[in-house]
Amino acid sequence: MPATMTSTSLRGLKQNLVSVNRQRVVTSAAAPKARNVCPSVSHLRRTQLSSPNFVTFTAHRAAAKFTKRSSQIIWANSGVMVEESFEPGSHVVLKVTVPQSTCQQEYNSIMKELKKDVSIKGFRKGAKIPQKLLIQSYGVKNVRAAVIEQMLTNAIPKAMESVAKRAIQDSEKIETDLKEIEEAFAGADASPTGDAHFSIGVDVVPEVKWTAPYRSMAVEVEEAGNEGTDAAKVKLMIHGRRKELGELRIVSDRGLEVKDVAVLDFKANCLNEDGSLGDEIPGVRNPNWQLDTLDGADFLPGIVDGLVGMKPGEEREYDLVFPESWPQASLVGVTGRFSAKMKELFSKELPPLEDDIADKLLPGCTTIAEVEEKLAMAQKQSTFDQTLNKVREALTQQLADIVDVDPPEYLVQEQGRQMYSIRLLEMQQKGQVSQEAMQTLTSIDMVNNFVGQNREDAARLVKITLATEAIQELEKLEVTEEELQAGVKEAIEDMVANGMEYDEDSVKGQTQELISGQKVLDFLSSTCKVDLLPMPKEEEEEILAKAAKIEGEQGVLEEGPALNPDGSIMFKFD
Amino acid sequence: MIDLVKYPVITEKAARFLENNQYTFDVDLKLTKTKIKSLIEELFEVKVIAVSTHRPPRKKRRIGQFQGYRPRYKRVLITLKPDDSIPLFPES
Repeated sequence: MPATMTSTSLRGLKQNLVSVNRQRVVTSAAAPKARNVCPSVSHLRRTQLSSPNFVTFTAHRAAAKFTKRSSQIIWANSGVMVEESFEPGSHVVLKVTVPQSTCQQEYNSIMKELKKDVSIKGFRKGAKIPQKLLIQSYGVKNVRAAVIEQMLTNAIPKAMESVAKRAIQDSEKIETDLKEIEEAFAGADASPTGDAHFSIGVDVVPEVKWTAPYRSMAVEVEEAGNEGTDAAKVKLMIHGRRKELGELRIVSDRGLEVKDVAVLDFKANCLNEDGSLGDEIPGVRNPNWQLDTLDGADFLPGIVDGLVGMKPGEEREYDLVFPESWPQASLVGVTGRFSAKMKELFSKELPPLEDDIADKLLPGCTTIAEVEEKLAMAQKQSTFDQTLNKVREALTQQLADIVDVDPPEYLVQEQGRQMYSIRLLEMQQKGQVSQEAMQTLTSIDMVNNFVGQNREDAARLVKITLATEAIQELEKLEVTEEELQAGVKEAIEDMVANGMEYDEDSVKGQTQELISGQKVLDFLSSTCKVDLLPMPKEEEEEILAKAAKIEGEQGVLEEGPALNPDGSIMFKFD
Repeated sequence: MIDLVKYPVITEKAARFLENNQYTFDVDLKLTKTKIKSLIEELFEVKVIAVSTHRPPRKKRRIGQFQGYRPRYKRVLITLKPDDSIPLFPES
């Protein structure tokens, strides 16, 4: 644009600019024109900044002026030229050009600032100081850094205006090397010598698309139980409880029989091929192992058989081969030499199943019938809950399959880190890691390693989260204030009861997420087609068989799985 | 020869004169205006069109019990030919 433009023609130019910007459609032919126009926008601004009309005009302009050309958008805002391009992984790269004139403005304002604070011998405060002297006193590098910082802080929000709403917080990053930006301020006094170019990478909340309508998802879920298994489980529970109430009686006149409880000094060694004794199998040694002989089959087949007939004080050694079904692969096929010393031997007597013990079986009950009824109710509820959870799980998995979304790298990383910290926390709670090990585990390399390995899981979780959020928005499933309050109150009460410290805001955020997640799942379970299949035959038979065993052998019990879910495994080979 | 010129003076007042292409220096007390003119012309390769000098008042300095004076110098104001300049702030 000619620098000698009169004010009338300036006004004309402004009109032109408005129309160019209103059109907003920068076709490939028009694009260079728009670029040429832009510096004069800032030229205009410099001359007319004081005009209130112009300011409003700029503000209006910012909202609605970008142009899509393939995946590129070019637009201008307040003296900043932005070229937007979309990359895979919901990543947006903004190529920003700050014209020299804008840079100069920033430079001048920085100089003004510097002048205020500086104190140089021979000059009074606020006196006119030669610019060179001023820069010399601060150091040209520092001045340049300050100018660049100022330029970036002003330009970035403007450049990001178009993606500001969709951008994921804190994911923006300047991808250009600082040195390249410095080139624009190459003057000996750090003054701008050209347009500043830099690019910002930012992850945006991706657009969620569906490969199939989520309303008509269909899932097949196996029920967690049926009436038969419920009844069987109740029986198991009652028997398990009875067993706990049972009395132990010292046996001295006979050897061990199946049904008895024995206290053993127990250990095991590997047996080498030539018959010599090898290393000790780790985790087995237990000088006071209380073995309920009925559980024996849960450990190693034959482990109880080898003990039958032992009297208190007796020692015995016997060999067993670890079967193929053994969970720890390194022991499969290994022959172990087990040595046991019987310390004490008890027989167990169960209280008769009468109304007297009803209160002990389940506090507050007076008859066995009542106990059974209550337990049956509870069991039914728990089976229902389990099935519901299964349905929800299946729905979320399905959701991840039908949602077509490119999870942003930043969210995936964040999710991965979260997963890692949860795992570490678990390990710490179990006391598996020492403080030192913790420090190595929390190193950045370890975290990155973990995130790299679990990328897919993390990406899947991010997908699910994005999908649920999208559904919530589409279906307008908002969390009402009352629901939130109630949820928060409950969560806080829970935390207080557990003696945990809490931060109300974070609890609120979590509860909000939790409730909205549930709402979406409830919505999905109500609209989607859910096929309930009967539970797998083997599982059903297993439970029924256990119950039948109890019934067959009066007074002989096995652990009720509901009461003792871990199966009270005494030793673990890990 | 450079020893004869002690240093350029950069103060608020000197900065004001800079705008008129006038440079301020402290020089050896014994130099005359003619000598100063040739000295500056030779040192900075410029054309001097005027030299004004004055001797700032002597400055007292006490170290313990001894009363003394700061070294004296002659302050000169040199007007250069309009296009000439002396680099006071070396590029860093």
